[in-house]
Amino acid sequence: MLTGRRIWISYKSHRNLIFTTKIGQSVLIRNKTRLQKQLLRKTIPEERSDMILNSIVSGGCIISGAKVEGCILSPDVRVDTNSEIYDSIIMESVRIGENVKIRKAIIDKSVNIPDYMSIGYNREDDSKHFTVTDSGITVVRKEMHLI
Amino acid sequence: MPLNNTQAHDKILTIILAGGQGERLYPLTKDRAKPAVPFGGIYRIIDFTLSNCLNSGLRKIVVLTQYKSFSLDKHLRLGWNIFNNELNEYVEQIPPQQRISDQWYQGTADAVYQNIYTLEKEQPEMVLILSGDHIYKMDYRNMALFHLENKADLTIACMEVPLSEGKRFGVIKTDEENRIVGFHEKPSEPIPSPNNPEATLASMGIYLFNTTTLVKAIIDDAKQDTNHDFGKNIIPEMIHSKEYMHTHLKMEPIIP
Repeated sequence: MLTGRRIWISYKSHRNLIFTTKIGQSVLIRNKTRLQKQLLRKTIPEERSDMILNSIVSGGCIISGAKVEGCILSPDVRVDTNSEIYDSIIMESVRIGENVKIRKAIIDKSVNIPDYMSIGYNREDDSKHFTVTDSGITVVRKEMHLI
Repeated sequence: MPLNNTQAHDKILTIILAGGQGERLYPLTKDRAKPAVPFGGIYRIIDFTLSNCLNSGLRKIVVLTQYKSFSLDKHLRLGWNIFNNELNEYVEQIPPQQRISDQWYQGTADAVYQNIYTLEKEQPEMVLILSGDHIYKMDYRNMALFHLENKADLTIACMEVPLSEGKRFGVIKTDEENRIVGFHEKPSEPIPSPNNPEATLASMGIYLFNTTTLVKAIIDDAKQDTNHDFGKNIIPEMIHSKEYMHTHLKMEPIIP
């Protein structure tokens, strides 16, 4: 399962891709009122698309408008709009918000990454909150809500 | 003639050691044992060893756990509940029960010693000792066959690693007839392999014992004040005493 180079496109991302092409939009928008058209344009940015390269994506993941490259995504992971994840391992039930940038990191189970966060780009910042190994991998451990 | 599944199942009891603290994987091991760390999306590290056992026809498996075993226990219960107890197949996990001493498992050999009653109850011909935190692919039946053909008391699976990396492993010295004549845990100057001067034979931590040999060795070891470790104490002591026949089996590394 782990060998070879694979490209995965989840159902959702595929749908988005069609949704955002010009032909797709014109079809969708044709029968709406002007207000509805404006709303639709607002909620769907012009060049919104997903890219998933050289990754393993498990069942139940939703990647919507994000870029994922060289990653392993466990089941039930969400990656939201405009986020970019490179060379990382994301474990079960992780929620990644919008405009998040992650590079060379291991994210443990059930972690919520808030919007606009960046992990793996600034070693000093990372080592304040997370564990950074000698080889430069950031490890984000499970959240502890009660303590 | 290779061993078939029934023979392997009848003759061999598998003991998987899953009690290590896994300090080097911190903080992934903060809430779980190392064998329970997720791997490759939908697996956990222990799945590789268990899958090897299953594919080798070994369906009598005891997992010795100790630290933070809940996550591992849950995984075995939910994910590996596939054996039929009526056919005498099982995956049991055993925490320290303080049957023999009032302490936790002091080392790998002590973990087996504290569960010696399992061996008495099961009375297998051979005992296969594995680690729960290794990732590899192997058919243990080939090893068992090699063990039987050589009439060995102990067989150690090993693989060739570059000399420079030998410092991290238990290194084996052999004679021409595959017999082990020396075992050094993490040596500063590893001995080159007989066939390849650039490499050294590193132990994979996979030991196949005859039950009688194993029982005698761990009881002897338990009486002494040692680290109670297979690599550090039991095997060097067995080689030193020259009472037993030890062989090694060279494996090619297989990346899953």
